[in-house]
Amino acid sequence: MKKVLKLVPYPSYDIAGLSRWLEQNAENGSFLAAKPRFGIASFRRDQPERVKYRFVPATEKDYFGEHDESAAEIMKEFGWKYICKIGAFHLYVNKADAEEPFSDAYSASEAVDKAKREAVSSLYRILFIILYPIIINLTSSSIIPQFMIFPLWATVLYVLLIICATIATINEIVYFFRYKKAVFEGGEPKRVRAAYSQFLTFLLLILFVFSIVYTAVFLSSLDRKIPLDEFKGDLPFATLDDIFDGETLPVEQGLIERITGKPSPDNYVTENDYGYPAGRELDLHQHVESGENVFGLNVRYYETRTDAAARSVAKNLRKYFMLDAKEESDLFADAEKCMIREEDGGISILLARKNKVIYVSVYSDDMSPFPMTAEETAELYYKSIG
Amino acid sequence: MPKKPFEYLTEQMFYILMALNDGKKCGIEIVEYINAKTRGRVRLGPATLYTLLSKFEASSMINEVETDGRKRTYEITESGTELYLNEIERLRVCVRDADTV
Repeated sequence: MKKVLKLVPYPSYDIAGLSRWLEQNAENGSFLAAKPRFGIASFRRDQPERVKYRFVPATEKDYFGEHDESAAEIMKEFGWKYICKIGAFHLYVNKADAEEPFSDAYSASEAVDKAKREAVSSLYRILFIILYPIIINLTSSSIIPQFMIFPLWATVLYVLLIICATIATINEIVYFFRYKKAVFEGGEPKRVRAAYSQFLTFLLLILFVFSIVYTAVFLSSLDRKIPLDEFKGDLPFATLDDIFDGETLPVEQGLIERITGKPSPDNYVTENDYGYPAGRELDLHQHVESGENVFGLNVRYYETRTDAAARSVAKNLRKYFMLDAKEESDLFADAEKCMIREEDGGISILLARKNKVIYVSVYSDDMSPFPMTAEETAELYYKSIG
Repeated sequence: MPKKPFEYLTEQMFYILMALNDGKKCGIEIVEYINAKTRGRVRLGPATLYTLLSKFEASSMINEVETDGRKRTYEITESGTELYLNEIERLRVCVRDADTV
């Protein structure tokens, strides 16, 4: 038998609107075949017929679980055929001249009450729809400022997601208030044309699909390596401004010396500016507690996304640290090499390895009555990392 | 203002309790009982029937005592009987009041 798919034009709480829409479809030979999924309803084509669709609220017994078959049996005795559950209602169909399934005001009002509750709870859905792109943006690290590190189509996708969410939200809110004003006061809401509603349902569907795709893009981007050629934003690594603050170059100051051995980046990474997994925390605070006089700790960790980006860092390093080509090459070839800069009461360490540039600053409080010398701090630092 | 459950009984509620007060019954038997008792005057729609049965059961006015396939059989509880008798008394008072006019 031929099947047709149609977008459901009204929310599940507008049971009167949905009943009428289904009856109109039946008059045109389309009969709802199964429970609509994601706003799409499957219809079977048959001889046009005038029928009556009615929504009966689910009871406490079958709200979440299987349909109460005894209820369906009673309905069946009266000629009502069970179709499916939509939202908080069970949908039945009968001949157009069948008597109404509700025969007293109390039970009929239960259906209206249930629809009202459904309408109110739909506001939570609206909240979710509009907040979803924002929440996605805020998880882990902010996406919006990093648009440029995504491929263009992912950025376009995100913008479309925002547009869809906005339109869908406005539509849901307008529908809700129109419905509330009419139905809560005992009338019928003025409905827009089904085709218009279906278009908005279509937008919602796009939103849903985008959400999934966008989430996938977002998650995969966390580990994505972007070739430097494609990279258009600021490189996500430590700039030398972070380190030197426009002061005299450290080499000129004679403040840089190289040491060998000891620090391993995996052991002292504490902060990750891009939300990447970082190594275990450097716990210098224990030295503060034990009176060893380290009052402050500033550890920053930068990771370039590609080797090419790391090489770009190397160029900067070469420039600022006045390295020759061999020194530069050695620096990046050997993860064990690092640079140390002396600060007031502390040290800065710049360490480079294949695709990482790490800047660590450990310092004691200037106001401390026992300020540590750079050597003392360095010793303490190396002690702490074993 | 929210409805208070069973503050008053609709005709359908009253007759459902009457049917179960006369012995345990399943849904269809309740419908048949009410049809016979009221000679078709009180119509009990199927959605009304199971909405009310569900409400009564949730309020412990009736209990499900037997399930046979799709058929569920209910019996009235003490609270249900009390509610039913109170409603009879209320209706009697109403009629007496009307008779004095």
